[in-house]
Amino acid sequence: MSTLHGVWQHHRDVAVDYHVEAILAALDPAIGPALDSRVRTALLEAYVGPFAIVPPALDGAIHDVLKSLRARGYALGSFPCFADARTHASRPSRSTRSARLFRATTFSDEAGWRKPAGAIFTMTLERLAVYPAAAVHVGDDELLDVVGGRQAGLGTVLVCESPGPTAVRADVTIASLAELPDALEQLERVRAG
Amino acid sequence: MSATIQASARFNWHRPLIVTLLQDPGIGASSCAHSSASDGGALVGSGRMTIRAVTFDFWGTLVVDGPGADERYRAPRLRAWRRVLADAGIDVSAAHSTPRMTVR
Repeated sequence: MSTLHGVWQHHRDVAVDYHVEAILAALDPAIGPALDSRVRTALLEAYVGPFAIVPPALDGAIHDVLKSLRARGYALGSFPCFADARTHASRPSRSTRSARLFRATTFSDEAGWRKPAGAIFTMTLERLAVYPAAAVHVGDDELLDVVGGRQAGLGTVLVCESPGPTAVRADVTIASLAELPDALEQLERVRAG
Repeated sequence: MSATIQASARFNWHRPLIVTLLQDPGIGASSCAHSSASDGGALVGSGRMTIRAVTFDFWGTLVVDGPGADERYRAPRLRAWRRVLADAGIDVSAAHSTPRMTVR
């Protein structure tokens, strides 16, 4: 597992298969080499399987917000930014009604990078064909989303119900995604001078 | 396979370790307070360009799992790993309060 943390410390990411190897190595280095591919596949399925039981889903209110943003002409992108079992299991969600609202979805293990690395923002914006200065990133984490987004050249919106004193300020802080359309209007007004 | 592993035949199965190992390593990104970094101010990178795209963090922003969400997944994951490893000749038993894993 320290191997995984080492990878993540450098904002890189790896396929979920690597998690199984890392766990086996942490349990006992003698186990991994002795297991055949059938057992490895079974362990991988056991690792990701529980998330298929309760697949991640966007609630209806968030879907409506995304839909309204699309109606206003914004291209949407998302970062399922953990190469973990939840991300692995959520891949089928690319075909859900909410997933179809996103023009670009960048999975960190496929990209090989994770936030706050600028590369993952850049990859997504390239797929959206939008310059960073014409994009805003929305997230709940000050380091990964606000600092990461800003360093990549995007405007930033922090979603935080009860922000405390902090050294990191997003361009706008909102309590929930329901406030996002207004926040974007506010940013547009600032940009328009 | 048994012979290969026989050399390291027994080791303790530390429950806190396996709970940590088998829980989702991605869970735990804190909400609203993750950074020790200072970044120097707002509206960097916005320039005067019209906003054309909005990108979203996924976990914790679009999809919110409560702090207890891990629990839905942890037990089935542990059970399944024990079963798969046992089928492969690696016996995981939960005798006593500190479960022991024995490699046959």
